[in-house]
Amino acid sequence: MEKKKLINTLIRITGFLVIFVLLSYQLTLVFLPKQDQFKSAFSRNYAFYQMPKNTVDVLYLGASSFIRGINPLIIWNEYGFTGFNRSGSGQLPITIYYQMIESIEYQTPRVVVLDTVSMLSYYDLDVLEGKLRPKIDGMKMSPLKIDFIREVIAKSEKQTMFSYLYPLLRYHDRWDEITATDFKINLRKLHNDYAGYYGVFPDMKEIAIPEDFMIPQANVAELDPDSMVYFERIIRFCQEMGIDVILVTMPRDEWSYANHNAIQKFAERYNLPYLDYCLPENFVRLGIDPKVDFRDGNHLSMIGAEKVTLDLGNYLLENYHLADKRSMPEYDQWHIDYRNFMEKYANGDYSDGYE
Amino acid sequence: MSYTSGLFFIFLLTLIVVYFVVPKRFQWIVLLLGSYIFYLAANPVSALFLVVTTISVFYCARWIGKEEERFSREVSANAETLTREQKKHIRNKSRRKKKLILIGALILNFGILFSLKYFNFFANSTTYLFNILSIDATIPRLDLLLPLGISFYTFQSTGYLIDVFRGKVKPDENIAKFALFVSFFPQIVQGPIGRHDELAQQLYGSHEFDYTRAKFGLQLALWGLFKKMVIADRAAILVDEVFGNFAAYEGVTIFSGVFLYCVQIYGDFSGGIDISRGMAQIMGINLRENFKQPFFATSIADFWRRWHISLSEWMRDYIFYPLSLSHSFAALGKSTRRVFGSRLGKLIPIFLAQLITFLFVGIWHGANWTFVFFGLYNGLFIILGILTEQPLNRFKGRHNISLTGIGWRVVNVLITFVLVVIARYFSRAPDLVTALRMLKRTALTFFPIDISGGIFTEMGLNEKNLQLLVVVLLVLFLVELLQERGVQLREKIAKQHVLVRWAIYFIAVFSILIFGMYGINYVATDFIYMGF
Repeated sequence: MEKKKLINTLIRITGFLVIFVLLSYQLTLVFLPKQDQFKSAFSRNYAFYQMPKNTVDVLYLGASSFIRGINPLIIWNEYGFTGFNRSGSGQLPITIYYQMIESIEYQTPRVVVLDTVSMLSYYDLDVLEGKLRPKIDGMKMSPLKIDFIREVIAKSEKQTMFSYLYPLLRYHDRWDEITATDFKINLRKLHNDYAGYYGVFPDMKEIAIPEDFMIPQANVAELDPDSMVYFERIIRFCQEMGIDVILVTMPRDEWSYANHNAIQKFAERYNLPYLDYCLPENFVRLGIDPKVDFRDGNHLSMIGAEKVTLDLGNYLLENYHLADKRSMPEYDQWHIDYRNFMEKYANGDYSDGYE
Repeated sequence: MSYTSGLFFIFLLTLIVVYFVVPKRFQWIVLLLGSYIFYLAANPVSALFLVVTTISVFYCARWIGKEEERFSREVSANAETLTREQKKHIRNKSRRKKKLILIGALILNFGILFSLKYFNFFANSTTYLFNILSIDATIPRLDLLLPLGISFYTFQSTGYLIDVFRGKVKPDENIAKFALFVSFFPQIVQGPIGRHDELAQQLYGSHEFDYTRAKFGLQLALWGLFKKMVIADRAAILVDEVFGNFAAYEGVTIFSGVFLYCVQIYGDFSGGIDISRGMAQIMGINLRENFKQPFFATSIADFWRRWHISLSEWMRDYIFYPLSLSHSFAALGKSTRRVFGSRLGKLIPIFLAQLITFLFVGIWHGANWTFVFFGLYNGLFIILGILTEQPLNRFKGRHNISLTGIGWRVVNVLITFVLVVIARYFSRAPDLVTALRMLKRTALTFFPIDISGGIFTEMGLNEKNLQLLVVVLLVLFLVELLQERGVQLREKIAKQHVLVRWAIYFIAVFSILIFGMYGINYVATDFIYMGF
C-alpha cells in the first residue's frame, strides 16, 4: 500500500475508533443502572478518590451495618480525627479486600476497622453478582481492578473480563427500561458528602431482642473458610504496612454467642482487638434502646448510629492516640461537611449523601 | 470459540494483523496455524479426526493422480503398438483401480461421519424395529464425540477427491496446504462447502491488504452478527416456547412460532455464513454465497437453489448427477418408458434420483426420522413441481396469466413460503409424532384467528422486545427485497457522504451491542439492596 494511502487509512480507522470509544463511554453512562446500589457505590468511590491524599486516619470497611452505623463526620466533630467509610450494602469479603488494597494508593490510614458480619457466610459470586458489579464498575481502572476482576471470573461461571472492561456488554439489555433519569444522572459525577456514611435517614423501627439473645455459651460457630481467606489477606497486608486493625460487630438482633466466640478466637490468633457491640454489657453501656436505635433488626437508626459512632471514636482515640486536626486549616472542608450533614439531620430530610 | 465471543474477536484481530504483516509467502501458513488453533480450542481430541480425513484424502488423491499419470505414460509409450481394444482394457483397469481408491477413501471418511453422527440414530431405530418384531435384542447407544464441522469438512474434502477422480482438478502437492483447504476456520463450523478449484488458490495465494475490501468484509460480518444476535436469538425465545409447549397454543400461534423458526434458522445460519464470508473477505478470500434471498423463492426447487446453496450443489454434483446419469438409471429409464410412456417414463429415474438426493439432504441435517421426512417432503414437492409444470403452463396460457407479472410471482412466493414453513415443523420438532401433532393442532385450531389478549407477551419476550422483533424483521425483509432487486447495498453505502456512512456503521455496531441477545440477563431485582 502506498505510504500516503496507508496514513489516510490509519487516520480514518483511528478517527472511527475514537468516536466509537466516546460513544461507548456515553452509552455506558446511560445504561449503567441508577439504582441505589450503584449511586451509593459510585458516589462513595468518587468521594474517596477526590479526598486530599494521606488525610484519612481511619478506614472503615464492611457491609450495610457499617455504612449506616458509623459516621466519620460525628467522630471528626467530637474527636478531631478523620475517617472514611468505604463500606457498602451487601459488600462481599473479596470486595472488602480489594477496596482495602486500593485505599492504600490514596491514603495511609493508621487504623482499619473491619466489619465481622461477612466472616460467617459463603458467598457465591455468580448468585451475588448484583452485589459485586456496582463496586467494581465504580472503581477507577487500574492494574488492581484487573486483578480483582480476574479473581472474580476465576470463581465465576457466568461473568467475563470483557463485560467488566466494557460494561455496556453487561447492561445492554436494559434498553427496554431506559428512561429520562438514565440520561440525567451521571454516576461518575455523584459525590458522597458524608465521608462515606450512608446519609440522612430518619426511619426507625422497634425491634424485639430475643430473651436468649447473646447468653454466654461455649459453642464456637464456624467461620467460612472462603470468606476468611480475604480477611486474613487484609490482616497480613495491614501488618506489613504497619496499619492497626480492629474487628467490630455492630448491634443487630441476628447474632449469637457462638458467632462471638468464633470471631474472638480469630482475633486472638492475630492479636487483634474485637469490639462486639452485640454483647449485653455493651448494649447496657451504650444505652442501646430497641425502640429507637434500630432501623431494622440488622441496621441502626441514626440515633443508634450516633451512640455507637461516639463509643467507637472514643475507643480509637484512647487506644491509637490519633491527632486532633480540628484547628488545621487544610481540614476545614470537614467542618463544612459536618455542618452540612447536621443541617440535613436537623431538618429530618432524607438524603443519600450525594444529592 | 463462538464467533460471537470476545475471545474470538481477539483471535481474529490478531490473526488478520499477523496475516498482513508476515511476508506474503507465509500467509497461507498463518491461516493454517490459525485454523488449527481455532479447531484445537474447540476440542483437541476431535482434531484427530480432522487429521485422519486430511491425510487419507490427500494421499488417496495423490494415489489417484499417480495412477492417472501411470496410465497416461503407459498408453503414450505404447501408442503405436496398442490396439483400441487394448487401450480400452488398460483404461478400464486404471479406472477400476482409481475407483477402488476413491471408494476406499469415501468409505473411511463417510464411515467416520456415519459412526460419530448417525450411529445412535441407527441403534435407536434398529432397537425399535426389534421391539416391533418381538426380537429380544438391543443395540446399545454410545457416548460419542462429534467433531466440530465434521459434516462440512468431510463433504468438502470428499468433493475434492471426486473432482480429482473425474480429472476436474489436479491433486494437491503439499499436504500442509491441503490441510488448510480442509480446515480453513471461517468455513469449518457452518460452511459454505467449498470447491477446490474455487478456493484452493485463494487460500494458498498471497493477498495485499485492501481497505475497501476489508471494509466490505467487515460490513458483511456486521450484518451477519445482526441477523444472528438481534434477530435469530430473539426469535428463538418464542420458538422454544411454542415447540416446548404447543398444546397450550392455538393454530395461528403455533404457525407463527414455526414461521419464527424459519426466521431463526435463516438468521442464525445465513448470519453465520455472512460472518464467515466477511472474515474471509477481509483477508482477500472469497467464499461462495450460500443464501440468495430464499424466502423469495417461487417453488421448492427454486428454494433449494437459494438456500444452503453449497450443499444443494454438492448433492447435485456428487449424488444427483452420478445417479441420474448412471448406466443403471439409464436402464431403468428404458424400462419405465415402456410402461409409463415417453414423458413420464423419462422422468421417473430423475424423480427417483431426486428422492434419493433429498433423502441425503434430510439426513445431512440431523440424525432423526424427522429429518428423513423433511428431506423426502422437499424431494416430493420438487417432483410435484416438475409434474405440474406443463399443466400449469397450459392453465396460465388459457387464462392469460403473465409469468413475469408481480401477482403471479407473489402467489408463488406465498405458496412456497407456506410449504417451507410446513417443512420446518419436521426439522425442529423433537420427533415425528410431535411434528404431526403440532401440524394437526395448527390445522384444527387455526380458525378463528385470535391474536388478541397479548398472548405473545407471555411467551418469554416482553412487549418492547416483540416490537423490536417486528422492526428488525421489517429491516431484514427490506434488505432482502433490495438484494432480490439486484441492489448492491455495500457499494451503495460506499457512495454516500462520510457522515452518512459512519452513521450507518455506528447504528449497526451499537444495534448489535445493545439489542443483541447475549450475556447474563439483566434482572433489576438482583441489584436491589438485600442488606447484611
